[in-house]
Amino acid sequence: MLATLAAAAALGPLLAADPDAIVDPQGAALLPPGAVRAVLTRRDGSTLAAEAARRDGDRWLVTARGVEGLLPAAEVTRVETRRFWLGTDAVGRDVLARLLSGGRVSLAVGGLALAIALLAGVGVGLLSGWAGGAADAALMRLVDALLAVPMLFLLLFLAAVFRPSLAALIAVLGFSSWMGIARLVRAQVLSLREREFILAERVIGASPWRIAFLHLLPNALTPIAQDGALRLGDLILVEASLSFLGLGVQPPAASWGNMVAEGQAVLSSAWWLAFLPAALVALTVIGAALVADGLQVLAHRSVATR
Amino acid sequence: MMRWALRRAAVGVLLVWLVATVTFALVSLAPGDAATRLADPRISSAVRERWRRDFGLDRPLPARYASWLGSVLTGDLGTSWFYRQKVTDVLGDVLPNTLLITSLGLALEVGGGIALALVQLRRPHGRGDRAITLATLTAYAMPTFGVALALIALLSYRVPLFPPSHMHSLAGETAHGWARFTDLAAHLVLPVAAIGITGVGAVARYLRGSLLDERTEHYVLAARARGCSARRAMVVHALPNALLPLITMVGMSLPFLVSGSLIVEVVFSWPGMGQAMYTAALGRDLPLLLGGTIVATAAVVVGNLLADLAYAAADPRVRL
Repeated sequence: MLATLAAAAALGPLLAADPDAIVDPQGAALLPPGAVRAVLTRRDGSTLAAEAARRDGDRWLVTARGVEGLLPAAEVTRVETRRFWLGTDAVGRDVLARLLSGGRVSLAVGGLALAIALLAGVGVGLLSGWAGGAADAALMRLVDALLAVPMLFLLLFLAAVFRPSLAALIAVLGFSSWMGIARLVRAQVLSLREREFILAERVIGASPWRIAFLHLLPNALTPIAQDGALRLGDLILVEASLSFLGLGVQPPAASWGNMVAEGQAVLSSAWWLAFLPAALVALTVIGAALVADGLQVLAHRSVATR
Repeated sequence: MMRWALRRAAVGVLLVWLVATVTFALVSLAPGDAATRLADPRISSAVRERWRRDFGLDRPLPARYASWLGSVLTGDLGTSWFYRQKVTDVLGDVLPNTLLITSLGLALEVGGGIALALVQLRRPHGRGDRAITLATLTAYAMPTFGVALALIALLSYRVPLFPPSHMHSLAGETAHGWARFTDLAAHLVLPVAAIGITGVGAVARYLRGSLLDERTEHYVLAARARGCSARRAMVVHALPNALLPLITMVGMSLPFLVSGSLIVEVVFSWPGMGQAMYTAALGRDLPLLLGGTIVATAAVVVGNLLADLAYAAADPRVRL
């Protein structure tokens, strides 16, 4: 499921129209899913969505919002029939295209933030568990402290003080979620470091770096991957929440979060505008949780058959 | 015990101080100080300079930090730029409202989670179990704002049962006694449900897993062998043990509870802490943001401390 979503998001630009293009703020706003419109491109590049368009000599007979009108054929450069599979939003943009490009943003932000969190978390966890002593104590106190900070308030704060940008969003999300990974890696290292194969490595004189990266880390990979999958879901939820509040991905760029926020205004008439992106967030998080479950099952199976 | 609590409290105070200092530094670094913010652009620069002097903004940063820290220690968090009121007064107005919905939401989350897990374990891997597992997974995965909006769309617009926003209706605002209480209760239903539904998934999923492990433990089998009913063995013997880690889990989730209520408050226009912080962030009301972050951090620290104390009280094996 996660793979399908990722593939759909990656192929988005090929599948659908320009997500930020406003087709026609009057003629194509809030169309229901599946609506078909004739889209006429004028010579100045603006577009007009009409229920029907018929050529009559050197004129176009256009029916838009129930009113018939005439357009000189010289004005119109292109006419195409477009089906809006999921309708359009309040300013007349293709919802399907926006869902796909929003998904690309959500997955990219989540994935990159996860990469930062994994780098920081695995680094701190390895260092803490393997070095031990004062470094361990200091790092773990830091982790405890950071875990108790209400992150969303800090994010609000940062968004108020600095302009929200995509890079800042990724960095903040990444650096606010590495603590759990650090704890997990440290616990793994602590349980592995007393095992015989590590002892053997030390006896043959392997450097601590070699042991840490070639022996400790690979053996701790399964729980890290499992935790990472769950965390990806959490990060996507947080990104969606921030974008929903208007503090994450900034319009006109689409993200699932800000699409829900835009849909909120027309909740009573076009409920699907808020429902579809929210459902996609949920599907993605479910997909991530299932990947985590699957990894656990795989790990148990390989232990059992060994 | 006493020494442990003192040490934890000291660490907590240190943490609050750290967060306060970092946020203060951010506020000081931010462009535009109080004088330029409050002043009408038409006011002459001489007057603005006098204001800067009155606010103490012409002094060097360390001196400002020292006097700010001093006033924070005496319980003065400064004046909100937007409300033109003391930050402590603003927060004092909204904090009880947030505590009301978060505590009710937390109760629903934990109570609902326990109930669901117990129902699931009446026949593990059965049809009901699988259906509830799917439901709790969905609840866990739904974004808070999605749940909130779905509740509004269904129970407020489609079937107008509950009011979609605010804490009181116009009539309830002026009413007294019972009428005021029922008005508040009607407004509470949807926000509390939104918090409860988003949280119940994680609790139920966790409890189901640990009860499944606990079920095959020897002490449960012994209870069954003594002639204890399956339900009694589960509720009286297995459940308390499975609940222990839940205390830590709830303690750990406190920061998320604070932030989760933020989204719920924004969607339902609930006049709470999160709503105040949100409008403060949009309006760049830095003193209010600063004060709110400090208060929220302090609340989380106290909550974590209480969770640890509760854990020690519930599990006699833990010595503090």
